[in-house]
Amino acid sequence: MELSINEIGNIKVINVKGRLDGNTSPKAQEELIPLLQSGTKIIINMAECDYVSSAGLRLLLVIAKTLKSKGGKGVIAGLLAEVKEVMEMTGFDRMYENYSDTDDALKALNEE
Amino acid sequence: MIQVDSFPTHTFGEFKLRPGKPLPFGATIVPNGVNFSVFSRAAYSCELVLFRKREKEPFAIIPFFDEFRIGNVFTMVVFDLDYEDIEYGFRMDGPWIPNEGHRFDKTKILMDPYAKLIGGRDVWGEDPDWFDMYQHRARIVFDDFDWEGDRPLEIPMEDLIIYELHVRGFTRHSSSNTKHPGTFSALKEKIPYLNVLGINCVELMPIHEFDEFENSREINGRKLLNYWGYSNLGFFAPKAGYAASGKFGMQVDEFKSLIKEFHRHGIEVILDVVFNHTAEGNEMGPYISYRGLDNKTYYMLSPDGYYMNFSGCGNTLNCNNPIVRNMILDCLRYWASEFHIDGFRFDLAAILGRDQNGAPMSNPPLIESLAYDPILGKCKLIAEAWDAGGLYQVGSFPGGSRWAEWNGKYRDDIRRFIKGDEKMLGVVQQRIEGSPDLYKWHGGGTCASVNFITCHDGFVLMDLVSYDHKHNEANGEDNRDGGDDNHSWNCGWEGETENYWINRLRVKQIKNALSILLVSQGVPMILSGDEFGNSQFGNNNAYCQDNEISWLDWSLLEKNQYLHNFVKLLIKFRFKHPVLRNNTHFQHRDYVGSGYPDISWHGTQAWNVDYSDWSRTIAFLLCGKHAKNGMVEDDYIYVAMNLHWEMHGFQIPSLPAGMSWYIFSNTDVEPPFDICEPGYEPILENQNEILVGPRSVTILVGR
Repeated sequence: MELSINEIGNIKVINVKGRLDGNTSPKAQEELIPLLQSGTKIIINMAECDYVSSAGLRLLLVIAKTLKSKGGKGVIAGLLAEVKEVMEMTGFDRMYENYSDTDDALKALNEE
Repeated sequence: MIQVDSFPTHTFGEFKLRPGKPLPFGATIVPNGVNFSVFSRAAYSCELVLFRKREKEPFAIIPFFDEFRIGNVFTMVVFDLDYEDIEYGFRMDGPWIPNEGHRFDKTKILMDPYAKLIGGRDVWGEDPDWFDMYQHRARIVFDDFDWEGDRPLEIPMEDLIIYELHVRGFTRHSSSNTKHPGTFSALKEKIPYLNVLGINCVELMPIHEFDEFENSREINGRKLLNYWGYSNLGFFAPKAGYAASGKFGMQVDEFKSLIKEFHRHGIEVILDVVFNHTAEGNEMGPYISYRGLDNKTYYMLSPDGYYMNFSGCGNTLNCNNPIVRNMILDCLRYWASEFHIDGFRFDLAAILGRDQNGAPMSNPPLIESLAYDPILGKCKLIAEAWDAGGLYQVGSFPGGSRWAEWNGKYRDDIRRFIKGDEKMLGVVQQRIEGSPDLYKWHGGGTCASVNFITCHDGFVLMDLVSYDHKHNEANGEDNRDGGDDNHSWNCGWEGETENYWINRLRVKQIKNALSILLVSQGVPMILSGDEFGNSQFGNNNAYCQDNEISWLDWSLLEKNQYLHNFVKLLIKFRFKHPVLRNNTHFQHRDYVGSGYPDISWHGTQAWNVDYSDWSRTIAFLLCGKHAKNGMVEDDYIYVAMNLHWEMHGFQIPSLPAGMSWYIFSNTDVEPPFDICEPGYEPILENQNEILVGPRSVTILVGR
């Protein structure tokens, strides 16, 4: 898995590429959690993430909870169908607003 | 702060280890590693066998060093494991002396009895690799879950309406219109349907990991499977094959998400738990776990080491051995605390009261422990109070007031009454009153009695009124399996028919049955599909039929929408009237000064029941001022039951001045006029007498 982060205005776009699983999630967590400060806005771009395991879902949840505790906001963009389905089956689909791509997500976050 | 015990103390090859903690048993994620802990009293030594997920050969076999054993527990921490990607088992070396009960075999890889996630049958019905040396593989689970404030609902027992269902059968049929048929996920999609029906509790037939291929066979080109699943592999793990996400190993999250959703919609979840035996069978059965870990502890054995068989399934779990008793307690606590389960129904619960030699005990420690356990303190505990060894304890299950029972006598007596048998009035009175003849001294009041007419065992309701005899040929046992004491009546033709009058009578008999069930004191239980006339085509033991015989046919919902509507309104009626949901037995006297006893029985003449052998007419009046022991004021309710084949006029008892009778339902009338929206019943024209049609039930409300 590879992570890349770019900033558009005051919004951080986190691009996740590859598998988010027990192997890769701890490292991703180490990298991402420090970025989440008071009022941070993020888009997690999942368009190139083809698998999310239990550990990966938990990382997404931990990010959502951390943002909430710091008054920030996070949305997800570009979920692949299979990943989206797993999130629905396991009830993890309610933790983020979900947009078809980063442009849509940016628009939504900027309108707030 | 970094803890001192997060550093290894030993190495084995490339693996870093340290002595583990004996509790909790099983595999637990700890800082930097996984803590493994397993019990065996008689093993000499133990090894941990580690596989990468789904790989045939283990990548490591790590011995538990002598200093890693505490008492009879082998425990160690293995550091730096990718615990999402491993499967683990144990190998135990110990004596092989079958006539003393020891069956150790150090070549067998054994599943952890505390495994919370079990791989190997990840997708229902998908053929496994039969040559795999480790068939049912323990995995490590993340216990955390975002419950969003959810907790068990704690609905008072007397207010429950239980709905028994099979997770797969409920949505597997092509007519179910769900995204992932036959799974927890699909069941979640059906919650709005259950909300409309109005039930507030689902009782799920076994959802623990079992092997659908156990005793599978082919009969006439049809594959028969262990479809019901009353045969546990592991007691702590939800069935992977019931989860749409089972192929990703996410069944725990999917099931938790389902429970959270049930709770959000006001529906409790009761699990059917099978602690009477395991899937290891008898002397000829496979090594899965318990047999190889400590056979003598986990199973009831004869003095010469053979398996006692009170379950009818080859072996009997040694429930009153302290180790097994603790395992059962740990297991139920786990489901109650980690899954927010609201209650448990214990399959063949009479076995739980047998001692280690199989003899019934008067005060069994396991049953008492469950009744007084702090974590299970608000859980519903329901016993199927009999076993396959001939112990029948309906009305005498030794659990005290915390335990309710599946009231098998309710089922049999009400069936016989509906069918038109003679000499039924006396017992029917008892059943409708919550069976005080069985439970008056039990201490649990009416809630001791879970009333049902049908359940997964035996005929479904449509078949109860469509078949005189069972038709289990498809099970491949020459129709020998399944009970013969069905108390069923086919209404004039065996099986499906185009005859209008027969079909009309069948639907009426179903309405009669459900009317009586829903106005009886105690806790009603409905079998899923009965509300829309689902049939199993005469099969009264569909345990192996993973096909259209047992899958609910949702197209019948449209065909029998009036029946469905009738049941929905009956349920609504029960909820509207607290007088139907008393939690204590009637006193047959007026203790609030209303001028009426709490319940009074009537015949075709008011205040006078004809108890002749051939009499099939009886009615009762509930005084609304006695609802909930007089704490709540309700309407008066009068129920006239005519199970005779002729019409009868019933003289209605008069109401207090200023009140009138309104008619809620009449099973003899064609829909939609057979039932009303509760609260909107039309007034009864003749306030003194009603005609109750042949084999019909009429319900009046006085207000």
